[in-house]
Amino acid sequence: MNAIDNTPADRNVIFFTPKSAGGTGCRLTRGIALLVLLLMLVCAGRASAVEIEIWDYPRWLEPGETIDRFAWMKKQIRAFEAENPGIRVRLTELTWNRGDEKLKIAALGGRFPDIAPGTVPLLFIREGLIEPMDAYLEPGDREDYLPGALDAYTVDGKLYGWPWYMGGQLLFVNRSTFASAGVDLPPNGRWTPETFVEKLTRVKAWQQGRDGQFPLGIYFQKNETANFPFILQFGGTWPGMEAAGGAEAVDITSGIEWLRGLIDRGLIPADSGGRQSNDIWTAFARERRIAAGAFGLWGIKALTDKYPMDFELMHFPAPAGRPSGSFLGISGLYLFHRDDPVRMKAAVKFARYITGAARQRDLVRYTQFPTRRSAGNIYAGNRHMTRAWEILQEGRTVPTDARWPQMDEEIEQAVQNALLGRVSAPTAVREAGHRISALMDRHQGSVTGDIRSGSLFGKAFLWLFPIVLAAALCARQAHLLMLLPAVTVLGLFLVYPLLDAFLLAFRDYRLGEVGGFTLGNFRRVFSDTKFVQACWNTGLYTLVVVSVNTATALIAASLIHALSGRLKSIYRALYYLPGVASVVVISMVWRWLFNTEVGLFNTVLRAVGLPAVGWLTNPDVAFVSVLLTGILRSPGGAILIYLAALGNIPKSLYEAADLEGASPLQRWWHITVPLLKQTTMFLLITGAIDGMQVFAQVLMLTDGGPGSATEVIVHRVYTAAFRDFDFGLSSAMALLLFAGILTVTLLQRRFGGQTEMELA
Amino acid sequence: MTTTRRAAPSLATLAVLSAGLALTLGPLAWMLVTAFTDPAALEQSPPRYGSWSLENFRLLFGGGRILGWTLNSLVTSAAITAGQLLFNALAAFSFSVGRFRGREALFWIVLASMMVPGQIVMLPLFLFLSRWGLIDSLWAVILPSLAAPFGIYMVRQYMDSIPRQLQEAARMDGAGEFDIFRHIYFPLSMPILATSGIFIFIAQWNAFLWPLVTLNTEASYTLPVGLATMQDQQIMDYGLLMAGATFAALPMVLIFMAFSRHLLEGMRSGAVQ
Repeated sequence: MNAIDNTPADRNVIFFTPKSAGGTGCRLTRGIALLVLLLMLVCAGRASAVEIEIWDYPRWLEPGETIDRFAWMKKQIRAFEAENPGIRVRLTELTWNRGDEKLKIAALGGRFPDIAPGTVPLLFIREGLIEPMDAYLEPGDREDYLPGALDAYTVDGKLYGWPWYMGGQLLFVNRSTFASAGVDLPPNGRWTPETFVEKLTRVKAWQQGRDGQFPLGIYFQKNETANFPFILQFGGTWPGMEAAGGAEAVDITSGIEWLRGLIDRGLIPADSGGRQSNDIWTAFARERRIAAGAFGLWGIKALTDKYPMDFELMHFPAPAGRPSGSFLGISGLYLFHRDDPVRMKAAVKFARYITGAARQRDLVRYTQFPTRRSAGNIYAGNRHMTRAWEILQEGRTVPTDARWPQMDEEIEQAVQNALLGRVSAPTAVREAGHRISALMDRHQGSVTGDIRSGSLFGKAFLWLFPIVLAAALCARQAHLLMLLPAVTVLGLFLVYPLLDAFLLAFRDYRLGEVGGFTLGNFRRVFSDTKFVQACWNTGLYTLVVVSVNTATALIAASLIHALSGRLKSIYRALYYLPGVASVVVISMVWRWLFNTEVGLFNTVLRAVGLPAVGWLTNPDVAFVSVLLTGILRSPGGAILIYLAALGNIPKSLYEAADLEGASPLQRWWHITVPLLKQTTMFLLITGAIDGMQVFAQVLMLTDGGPGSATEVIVHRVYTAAFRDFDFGLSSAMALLLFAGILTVTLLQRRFGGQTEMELA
Repeated sequence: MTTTRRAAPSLATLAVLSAGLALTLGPLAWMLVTAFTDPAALEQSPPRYGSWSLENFRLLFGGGRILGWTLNSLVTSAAITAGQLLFNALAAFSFSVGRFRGREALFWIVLASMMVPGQIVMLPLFLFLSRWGLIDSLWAVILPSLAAPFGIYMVRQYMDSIPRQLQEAARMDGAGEFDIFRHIYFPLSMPILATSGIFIFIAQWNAFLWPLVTLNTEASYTLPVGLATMQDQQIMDYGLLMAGATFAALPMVLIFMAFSRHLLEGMRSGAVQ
């Protein structure tokens, strides 16, 4: 961080005083000496110890801690370092949801730790980044692991990690609500779909008349498998993977239709397709509006400490004789390959230490199950955990395939759309099946290979660039020299990547790392339903938000212009003020206002007896909400530009109108507005260019959901690149956006260019 | 809607303007209300308001993470502002004063590159920087922003209006090009540089997409990226989130108040679209 602090200042010195070479040289030497000294210090520190790096997610709160969810890990690191004086461990703290995405981007970008947490890292294994652990197992290790634990980390016969704990997602039921409704729970925790529906119906009858109350809440969103047992209860396999599973896709259709039946009977919210786990958890645990829901094992702890509730864990409903099929997951630590065997060994030692039986006993605070027998039964006497263990014996896991995240997204979206009634269940499943099959056919090449190989253009550019620089230097032209920094920055970080973007867009992954040229990416762009939806939404956003903002700016500016003195400057400043807050900040506030369960809007609606609105969860409303946030953002910049233009209108024009007895409104409409036409044109076009690049609001408010209801182009470009790692598709979409923006920009040159020059 | 300046503003005008303000400032006001409400009261169902406390801010700073994010934001914004002002000014100077072949062609290319939206180069730039091992370091955010076509264009427009006699006189006295830049053009361009400096700083402080892509561990996050990940936590603690949002918006509001004259005049002269 120090280096970053210093450099610009140093450069200042270099560039500002080329003639007083003595002073500059002196400072430079001093700077270099300092740097060397620092380097030596760092190296000296390093030489005595191996340093390894672990990235970890937040875990449980140790007793006495209020906020630091890394305290346990830090304690273990201290203990480990004390036992192993030659090893130093550095901890990097990840965050929950986006942590996984971040880890992927960083690792594929070549910035990976020694040890990372999570389920089996199939993507990284495919990329050859993960070190197999078989050679490091000690005698007795294999026997000590519970059945399935090692299997979860075994790919093609090799073990790729250290299993740490087992978790799962279970059906939680609020016992007091069921008891108040006079509905008893099956004592063995099992129910068939028929009894399940029958009991929910009786709870519903008791809840009648209380707005927003439901016997059950469900959610389907990316990376959330919790509610899949409902759609898999009649058997079947994932769409598009029939070849692997052999069963008919019709079966999951019947599960979705069963859920639709629950909506029709009012047993689950009508907008269930758009709900998120956070909503349902809040409604279940905090608001108690929902009497049952599927959550992770962490819910047991939260319902004991944070929101104390009399609850019961149940099997998911399943026809008699079928397993209830909760989803379970084995989590652990895996190690990235390093060429340094000493470092590798140190990392293995630490991973073993953290996932060893002694440390696994601490999982009791995490409400997760140990994976080693020698940890013993840490939950003896805990009713809920004992029940959870029973239920998870019938559990299942997601398919072991590196492409599961993308498959999952397709499936979740199919279920969402079917539940929202946008398409019929069979159609949704069939379409998802097609897309998943297409997905399985693609992506044979290696992503990291692509990253490392670079591009033709890039290489040419990087060779050519130094030559041009050298030529400029040789020319001994002061002005060329002064252009150098800016041209270097723009060349390296704008022109070169732009050329690369063209290459990526026309490259084919099926041909592997070298990559042939193809138009296939563009064909895929247009068959990407999410992108098509994104184009519509982006167009609508641009049209609505830009025209409304320009109109309000015109009106506000006209009104402010009529004021005088202090009042004028105060209003002008206040209208501009919200513009300095970032979109991220504003979107966070909107998300809080829009929150379905506890947000201000729905709290007010409920208070006056109106039904709550699914601002961000109902797909018909969600995009309107996004538009609303755009419209209600003060167009401060536009107001100022209008004010400047208004100041340039000669008063004499109005005097003539006054003589003719025109009303203020008439004068405004017939004189002011037409005279501002140029400015209006300019604002519309620059606004459109900005509007087409809308991103942050969508990412923060809805992440493109529910379904793909609020997808916009840049968000799709982002997800295709950094969630699916489909670089060709992402670049093709980005180029199309570029073409659109270019068109509008050229329109500006044609119609609005003059104003820009005038203003500048 | 009247242009007669001496007339007292009509009540209707003030009412409409104030209503507009209520709509646009409303969310920010709600942010403040939530941030300063006792978290225990927010946990009620429905949330209760009216019991004020600083507890959310205590929790916010208790984690210590937000201070690191703030420092990262400060470092990147300051480095980019300083670097961009210098590089833009140097380039603008050579475009304005320099007499070399290909000057207008080069300037045209710089102008044209204004049209390239950041999202196009996002992915190739990410791949490029990761080949250099710069991902997850603040350099990845700083380096690509050290010069900007729009800034070069703005400053050149301004420098074009500086009388040529000044540089000619300086040359007579034996001044080199760097001296002319340093002693004449740079100081004389201070108004435009100050304005664009403030805008660059604000824009960088609020920058989101590129830092989101390149900064991947908590230690390197800037404030907006850090806040966005806070929002992703499993249990939604809105009091804490709003405290974070308030804290992130505060410096910008202060800068705005301190420099509002500069900013508003800058906008008027079209310093930023």
